[in-house]
Amino acid sequence: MEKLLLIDGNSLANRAFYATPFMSNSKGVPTNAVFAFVNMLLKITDAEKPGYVLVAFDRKEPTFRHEMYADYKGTRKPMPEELRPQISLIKEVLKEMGVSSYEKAGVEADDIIGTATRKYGVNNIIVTGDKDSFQLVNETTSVYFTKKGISDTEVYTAENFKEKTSILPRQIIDLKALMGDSSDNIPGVPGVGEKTAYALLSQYGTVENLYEHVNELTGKLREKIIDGKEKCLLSKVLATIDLNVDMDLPLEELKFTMPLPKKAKLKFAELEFRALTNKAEIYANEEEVSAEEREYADIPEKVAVTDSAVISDLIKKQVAVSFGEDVSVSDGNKEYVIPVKKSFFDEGFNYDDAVKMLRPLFENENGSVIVYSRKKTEYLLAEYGIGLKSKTEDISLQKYIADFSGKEERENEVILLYKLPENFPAYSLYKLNGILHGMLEKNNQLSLYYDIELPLAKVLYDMETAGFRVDETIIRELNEKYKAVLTKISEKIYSLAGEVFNVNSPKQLGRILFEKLNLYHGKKKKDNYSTSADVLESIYDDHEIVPYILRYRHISKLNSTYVEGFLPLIDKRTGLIHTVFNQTLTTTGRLSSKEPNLQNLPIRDEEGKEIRRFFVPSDSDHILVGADYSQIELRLLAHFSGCDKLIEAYKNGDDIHSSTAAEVFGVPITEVTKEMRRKAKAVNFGIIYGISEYGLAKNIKISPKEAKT
Amino acid sequence: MEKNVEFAHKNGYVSTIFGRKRVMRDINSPNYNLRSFSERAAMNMPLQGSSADIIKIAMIRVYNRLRDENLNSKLILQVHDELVIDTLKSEQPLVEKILKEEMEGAAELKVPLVADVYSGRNLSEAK
Repeated sequence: MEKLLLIDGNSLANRAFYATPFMSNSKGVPTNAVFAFVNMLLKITDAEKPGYVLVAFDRKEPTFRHEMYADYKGTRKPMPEELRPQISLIKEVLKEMGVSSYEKAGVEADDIIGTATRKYGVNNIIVTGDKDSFQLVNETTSVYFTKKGISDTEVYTAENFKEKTSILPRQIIDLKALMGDSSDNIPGVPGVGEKTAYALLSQYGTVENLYEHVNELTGKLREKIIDGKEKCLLSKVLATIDLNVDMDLPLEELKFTMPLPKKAKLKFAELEFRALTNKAEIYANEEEVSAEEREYADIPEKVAVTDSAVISDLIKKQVAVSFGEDVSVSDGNKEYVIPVKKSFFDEGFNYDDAVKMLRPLFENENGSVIVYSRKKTEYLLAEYGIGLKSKTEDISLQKYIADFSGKEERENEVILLYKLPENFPAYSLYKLNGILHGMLEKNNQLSLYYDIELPLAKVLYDMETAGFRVDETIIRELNEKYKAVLTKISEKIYSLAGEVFNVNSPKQLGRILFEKLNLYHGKKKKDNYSTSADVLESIYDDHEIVPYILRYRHISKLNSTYVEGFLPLIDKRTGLIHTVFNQTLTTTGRLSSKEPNLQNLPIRDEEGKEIRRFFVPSDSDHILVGADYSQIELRLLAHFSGCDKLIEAYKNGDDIHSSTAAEVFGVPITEVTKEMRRKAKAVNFGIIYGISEYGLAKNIKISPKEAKT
Repeated sequence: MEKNVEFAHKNGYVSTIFGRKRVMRDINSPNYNLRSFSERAAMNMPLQGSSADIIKIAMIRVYNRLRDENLNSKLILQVHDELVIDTLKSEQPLVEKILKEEMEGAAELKVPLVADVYSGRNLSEAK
């Protein structure tokens, strides 16, 4: 028999919301419940393969139950602010996934589900976190009850129901009539709890039968049952799911098919559900849905390239190039695809021949080629001996400047985000160039793009490929030294702790510090003590061991990141390290780099100096020449504040912190004390690094109010 | 600096001297912690962002100058506010001059930009 999956939308959304950490997309739209909901839905449909799916929702209008009993659900807390918008988002997502949802004024999701289970003559699977639905269980209806979170479900069927609950499905109603339900504010019989309710039901079956035999009861219980009769019968009606909701919903409309339509993918991309967008197997084959895609974008004609003449003809135009499984080129009208062989027997070109076909485009100094990432393209072309001499447009940089989402994105993600056809990547890049240029122009950011970020991509490529030399002998020496230092510090730590333990284990460290040495531990998280730097700083003076631990950690981190960490990064053939710069990662616009991360290289302290000794010239004919900006952020502070005195101080070459102190404390610069200068310095850096008044006050030991002025 | 915050409250973003923007979506949040975090970020992003812009401009200028003057020395490192060139010894005086000129000329501020030049057989000596 066909299967119908029935989902209590509100119940599941609620579970999804509380079971997952809060999450929002780059536009600030909360999305955690939506994400978890969709995953749950996909998991169940994958496991059960239902032919039909219906998601039922509650509505905000009062239901027939409220009319009978004004306090119905009166104890419900209002929906959290972050969840409310997600309910309508879930409905939007369901629509794009081709999943039916239904709601009706005056009835609850339960009633819709209940009616559906008795309407279509199919096998029903109900998914809910609400035990009310248990009353619906019968030969053709089972309940997936979400216990904890959303993935932990328990299945209730006609076969196992009695065993699991010791009553029959319809007795759920009687149970509630007797014991009530605090979550729905159903009163039940005052004074009757769960245990009594079960006992009564096992003897009398239903509440009606109970009242027929009420004289068999004795004492207090008899009194309670008799006094509570009205409430009991009202409760029974309230707890009974309506199986006869008038709904015009033919089974055909509930049809559900996998894979999902492409528009679902676009919706996921919009919500920035990267994991879902990248699950290729859940979406319908590209060609099959091109009709639906046409709703979102005009689709270009696809031309399979058979010889290089086609490409050479494009040399006079601006073109976009995308390197995917195939190599494609677009002039904004057509998508020219150079098919790449996936196996020996395939039609098409070898990958290197396909790429080499593009040589005339990239080596044409008068040409202009749009690519997703200039730097990555240059690497790829270099592999095939092709130079990058044409002008380029870099979509990733345009996007970073004009519409930064807060995280790195891949080519297909950006294409989907702008609702462009993913299976026409070159055409989409061409369109993106137009769209993003429009945004750059509107934001007055063309110069930032053309004068800074785009030319920088070339500079970074050359820096990366040039690499830098490090002296491996010195690295190994320092590694030995650090290991010895760490051993020495840990011995000191063991003797202070009175035992040997693993300093790197937060758990063992927590036990030593907070149980054995009884130091102040702040908040415990799930039975674990925090041994974060913040916590250790706060007890710095409380025990001699703490400074040693901080020291241990510092050296250990340096060693693993910059000393030992450097060794595998050295190119065995050349002895050079090639860092990788990332130009599109930070919100401030700073560059970042990895392997190694140069931006975190310690500079000021002794250790920093030792690490800087590794960096050496390429050979004995060379020498390192460097320069660094003096107080660039303070100068910018002076520039932005427009403060005449600061500007004057810089022009005169005065000490800037003394000048600030003179200004803040209202004394002539000659009378500024060391203490004043120290505070002024903290103020200056506080502003640059965004320290709050409280943080600032703490750092320089003044009141927050004083700090604010 | 208060101007930056005020601007952010009104427009929902702040920007650097060179037009780099950062959207501050929590700047008017009713949640005190989120809001004050954004307000502080609104204060310092123009500083950190502008300094990022400036070092990038300096990199391009130095790179172009080395290329235009046909030098063999290469820009190899950028660390914080510091640029390092692997310099052919015969080119050292010229490279030092180029670094200083191009870094200090990277932007016109109301105050002078100053770059301190050094050299050595390793990066520690060089400082």
